[in-house]
Amino acid sequence: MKPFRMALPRTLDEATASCSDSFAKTQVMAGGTDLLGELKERTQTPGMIVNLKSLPGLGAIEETADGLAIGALAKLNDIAADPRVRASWPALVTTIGRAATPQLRNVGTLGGNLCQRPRCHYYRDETFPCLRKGGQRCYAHGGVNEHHAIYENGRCAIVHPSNTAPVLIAHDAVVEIAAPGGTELRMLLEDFFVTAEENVQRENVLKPGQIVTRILLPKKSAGRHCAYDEAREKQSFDWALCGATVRLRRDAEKVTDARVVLSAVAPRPLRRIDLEQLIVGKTIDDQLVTTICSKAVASATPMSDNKYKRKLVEAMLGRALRAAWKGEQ
Amino acid sequence: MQDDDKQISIRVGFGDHVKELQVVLPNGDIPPYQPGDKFELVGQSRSRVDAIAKVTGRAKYTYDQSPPRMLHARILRCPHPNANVLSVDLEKARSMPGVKAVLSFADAFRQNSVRFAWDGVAAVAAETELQAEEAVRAIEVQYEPLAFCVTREDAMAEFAPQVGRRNQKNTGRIYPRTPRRRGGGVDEEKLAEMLQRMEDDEKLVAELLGESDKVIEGEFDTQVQTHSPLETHGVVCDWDGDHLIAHVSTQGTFGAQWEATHPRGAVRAESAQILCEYIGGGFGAKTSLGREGVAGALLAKSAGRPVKLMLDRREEHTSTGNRPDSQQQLKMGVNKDGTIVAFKARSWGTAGNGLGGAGAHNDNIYDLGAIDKVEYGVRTNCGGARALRAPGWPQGAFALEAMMDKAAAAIGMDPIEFRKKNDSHAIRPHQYDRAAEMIDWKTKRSAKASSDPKKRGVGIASSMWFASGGGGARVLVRIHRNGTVQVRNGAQDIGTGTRTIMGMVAAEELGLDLAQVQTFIGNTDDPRGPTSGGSTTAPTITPAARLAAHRAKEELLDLVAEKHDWDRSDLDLASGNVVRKDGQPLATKVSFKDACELISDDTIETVANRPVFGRRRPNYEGFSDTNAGVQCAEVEVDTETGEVKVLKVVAVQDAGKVINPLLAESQVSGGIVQGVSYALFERRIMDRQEGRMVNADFEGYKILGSVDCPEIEVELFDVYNGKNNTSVMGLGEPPVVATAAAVANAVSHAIGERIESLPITPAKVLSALERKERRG
Repeated sequence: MKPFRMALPRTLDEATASCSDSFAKTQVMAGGTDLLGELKERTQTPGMIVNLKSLPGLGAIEETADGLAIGALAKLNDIAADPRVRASWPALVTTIGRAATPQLRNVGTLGGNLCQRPRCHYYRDETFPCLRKGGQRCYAHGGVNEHHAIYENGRCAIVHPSNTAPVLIAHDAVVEIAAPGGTELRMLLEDFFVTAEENVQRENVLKPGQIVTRILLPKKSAGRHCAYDEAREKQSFDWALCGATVRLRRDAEKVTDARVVLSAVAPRPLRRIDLEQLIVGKTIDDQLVTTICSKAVASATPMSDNKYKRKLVEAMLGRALRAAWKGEQ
Repeated sequence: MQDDDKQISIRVGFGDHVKELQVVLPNGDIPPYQPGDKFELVGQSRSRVDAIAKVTGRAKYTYDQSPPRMLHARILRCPHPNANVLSVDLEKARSMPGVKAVLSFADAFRQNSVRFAWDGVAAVAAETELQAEEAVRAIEVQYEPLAFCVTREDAMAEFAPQVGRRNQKNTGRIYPRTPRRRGGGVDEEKLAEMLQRMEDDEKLVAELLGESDKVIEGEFDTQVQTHSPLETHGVVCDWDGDHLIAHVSTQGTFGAQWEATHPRGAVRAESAQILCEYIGGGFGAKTSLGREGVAGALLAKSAGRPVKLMLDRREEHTSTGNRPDSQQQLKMGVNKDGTIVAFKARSWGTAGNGLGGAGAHNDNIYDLGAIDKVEYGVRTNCGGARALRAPGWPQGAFALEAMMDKAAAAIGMDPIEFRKKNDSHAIRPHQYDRAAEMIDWKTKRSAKASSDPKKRGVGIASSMWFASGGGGARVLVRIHRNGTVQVRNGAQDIGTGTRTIMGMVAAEELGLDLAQVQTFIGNTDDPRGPTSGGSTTAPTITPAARLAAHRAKEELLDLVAEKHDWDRSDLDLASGNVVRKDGQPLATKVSFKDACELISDDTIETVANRPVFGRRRPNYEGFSDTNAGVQCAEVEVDTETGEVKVLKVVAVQDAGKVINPLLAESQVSGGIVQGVSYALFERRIMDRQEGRMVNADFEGYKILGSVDCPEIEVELFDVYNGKNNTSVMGLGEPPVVATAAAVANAVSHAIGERIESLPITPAKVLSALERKERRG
């Protein structure tokens, strides 16, 4: 680990002001479960860490007129235990329950989960100067890519590791961001994430000095159901090989509104509006599921070792569609 | 026969299978534990004597040592998989803050080339870990990178880069072994005989295969598994003049002492005390002092201060050994009546840049008829192999047991009946039915496949092992006048419970409870003990402990007999008292403590060597030369995702006479856990572009966790083997042999398609199902 200085800001303004103009020099830390690993592996070697733990109020979970506001520093386990979350956003409880380990969920925060860096074994290894670390090439192309992306993988083949993001996106969550000078940004969480073509060194739109402060979840509406499912190699402490989130609103016979998000298969949580359009106005039955699943994988561009992920997309998406239709989580 | 040898008749065996043998006991040994013997302590489940110390953190491991003024050391690792080291400039590092000592591997080990990525190049000791890390980065090395290959396929390809040096070929036959003369040259005469024998075997087996009713073929692949002990390799070294005092995370305290003091070694201490009171796992990788141990000792000597050098996880994964991979091409000829008539095996494995240890034991366990087997080692630019819990066996069993299932299916026989038909072991045929009953084989094997995407299946596999111990152990028993008893041996307890069972056999002999005996282990100032390898420690140390305690008892009873004017030969110790052997009450009650007060010097002190029959055959003729086991696994496979869950593993296991069932079951459970992990998760992943391991951590190198752990049921077979005075046989390795094979067979049963490659990942399951679907 390279020695670094640490700032303990007391206000958001102090926090954003403590950041320099480059991620190489300054990194923001919430729970630290991801960043500390990076520091130890020297994939990041900032001279300054801005520790957000000293900021008051950033861990609150509060009801608002429009729904629920979850502070960026709220611990994953606290969110999953919150009765309001359990009642109205149970799919979020499901996905948190599958993240990391109980110990890590006691420390890891929602903001950190959304901003965590990829787990790609080339990215995480100092000795591979890959594109995402400012290098010249993606080693997954031509290397070992069994766990890598099968969509949007032409330039860099990481998968986005967050499994809260797809569920939050499916609920049309909004992210609030504090920027230097006291300004505040708001956007749909879906727009927060970027493709490797847009920026190969970052997974989201955050600029140096910008800090995620809250996630806003719109109120639960009648007839809304969301389901998340994922497949993985190992059930204790592992990352998803593929995840699917389906959020539906339905009347007695048909879907009136839909969100479909695939995860762990692309460099960002992958919302599939094309599939959503095929669902709305329909009854979800075996035939529709088959159609949707084949359509979902038709656009996949798997690499040498990860063709099997197409099967996983079909399986996970099929299960999430059926579960959301039936109203299971 | 020598003066103190005596011929006696002993009973050996288990249950209804007991026979009588005439054996010669050498070196004043006492008769082995036999069926019908009455025990007060042996055979009872007792917690480890160090259980509380371990779970409370009071137990101090090498990692926990922190003597005053201790420095921290780090090793510089080479990122290239194959390179010549042209120069190492330590000057800049030497002048870095906090640096107290530096060394290059070129000087310490005369090593001027690296043949795998993350091999060591130099080392630094500094005041803090961070300073050592920074200083290591300041070392300037000039490499001449060479072409490399890190997979078996690449190394065996035409025009593959040479991994070795001089005239070393990438591929070499390792079995049958080329016969050598004393001094190293090839014995041409014996070689010619061997080649002729190989040719004859090949011809014979080809003929028998041609004549057999069915010929089964299979090609199997297994992965490289790393040892992954939770405590990495490392040392904390200090010097007192030329005397080295080293805490070493080791499976061989006395081996480490030998290495540290050997006049032609790299450390060359005048004398050395090696300490390893507790070790956080080794699994076979920690039988040598290692480069890190030598570097730690040399840096401490040079700095004149204690030095701690513990490897990090990446160094542990890459440079401290592994179980080699394998490709096994097998053929089995079987007749309709279920007899195996012939077996052919060709296999290739890579043990890193050496050839040794790359074989797979795929021709043992069953009666396979005529055998034609040739094995090759393949050099790659990867970290070298070291013995890993039953080296060669789990990979061999995986392939062999798959062949057994395929053969049984080909002739329409139940897999268990087929195994029984071809198994002449003295014990194992009696284990199959019990294992089948425990897993509910009949019901589950014949259950109709459900329409649910999750399919269940059961599989079976067997194991065997050889460990009845050998010479090389000596135990000291000391009875103090105040009634306290010490049992001492300087070898280590690698987690098998040596510390506990050594105390149990001594306490049994003295008629005491375990709590009344203190045991000491892991200090080379105490009497000699073996390196823990080959599951030999328990059957090597316990007979010495028992004999030493027996002799101490005789001395104590001499005092009692003299004092009370009793006939010495009537007396024994039991339940904390002096008793009469015939069960009649004594005229005066004498407790163990009363007896101890008769000791006129401070202590009775006896030392006993582990009795051996002879150099070549250390043990007595017993019931069976090998111990046996059978395991069954039940799995659930999600046919849509390829996820495999092992629901249950049952094991019927023989370990000779079981001293402590709780600890023995714990060994079996540990073997099963490691076996399931090997079957489903663990694999070293090499990047072929740069030649480095890309999953050298515990995230990418996946090891079974609590949710992945099956229900485990263990039934121990108590076999009075009679091969040594405690009748104990080793148990560390046998339980890991069968597990992956049983799991793989269960997966095949569940999905109706065989996966001939480990680990069984979702990707492989899905591709197998696709293959099955295409075939229709």
